[in-house]
Amino acid sequence: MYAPFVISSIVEDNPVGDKIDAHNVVLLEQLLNMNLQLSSYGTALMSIAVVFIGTVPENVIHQEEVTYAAGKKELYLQVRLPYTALLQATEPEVLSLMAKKYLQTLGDLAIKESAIDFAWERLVLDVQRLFAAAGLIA
Amino acid sequence: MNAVAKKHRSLPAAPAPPKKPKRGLLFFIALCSILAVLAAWKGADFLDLDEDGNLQLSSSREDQMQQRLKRLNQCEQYVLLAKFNGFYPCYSCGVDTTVFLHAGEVWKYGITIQGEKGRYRNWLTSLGLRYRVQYRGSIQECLRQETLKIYQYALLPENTIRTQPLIRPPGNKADL
Repeated sequence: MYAPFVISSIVEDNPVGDKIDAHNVVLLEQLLNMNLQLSSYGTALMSIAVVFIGTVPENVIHQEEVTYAAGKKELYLQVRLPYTALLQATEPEVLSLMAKKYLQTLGDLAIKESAIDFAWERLVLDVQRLFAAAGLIA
Repeated sequence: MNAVAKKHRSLPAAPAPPKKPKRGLLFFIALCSILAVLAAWKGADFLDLDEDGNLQLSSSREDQMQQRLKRLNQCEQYVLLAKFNGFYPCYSCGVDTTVFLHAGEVWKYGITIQGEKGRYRNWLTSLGLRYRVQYRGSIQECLRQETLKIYQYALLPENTIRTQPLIRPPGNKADL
């Protein structure tokens, strides 16, 4: 991966897709990479990629998943955003939705993957503080 | 027939003594064949017999085939777009191996069906790209859409503005 924190998306080629990938994907990625050092949380992870799925609900090709490549120390997460919420939301609101989903996903992993040599709880806390300071979450 | 001719007339060949069939060998070969067929049959869990004793695909293999056919009808034609301004790998740039793309410009058109996540995932995470679904349908129609887009890429303003326009998107190694 080209950065410690990678954000990407799989979206419809329509205005709903625009709300996710036109600016928000890069904004979130830059926010994380400019403020957090992934290496300071342990040696088990070199990078975390989160790909937001913003496709219509009936789409079956793209599913949520978590993959950890131990050799490369890379974590790949694919998470779905609720399409009906995306339809109504503005672009800044979608960024907030993405931040909440990101934090929730990391929090879930912190519980499941506590065995890995990585300070999950501290990362989750730092991400939470960062998003709050950026006004993305309450 | 004169005497000389009679003298040189070839004698009829003596009938060869009937070969005794090597029953032991035949039995051994037959036994081996039966055992081989049985062994193959045991390993062939993809085959089954119907009620008339005819060979058919096993139910699990039949289900697998139906699933595969269903997946071929759930195809997606996508475009991968640059996330940032920067240099990206180029397979259609002659001697150059990279090309400069502005954020939002096309890197590749492709198709995928369910279960083929590996290919585009690496591009998303290692090259800085994002994925957009442009069409859904059968695999034939997806291939048609992909072909149209790969060929018509040459006409896109983002390509014609280049000093040397590309014949196809930078990430597409071939027209199909």
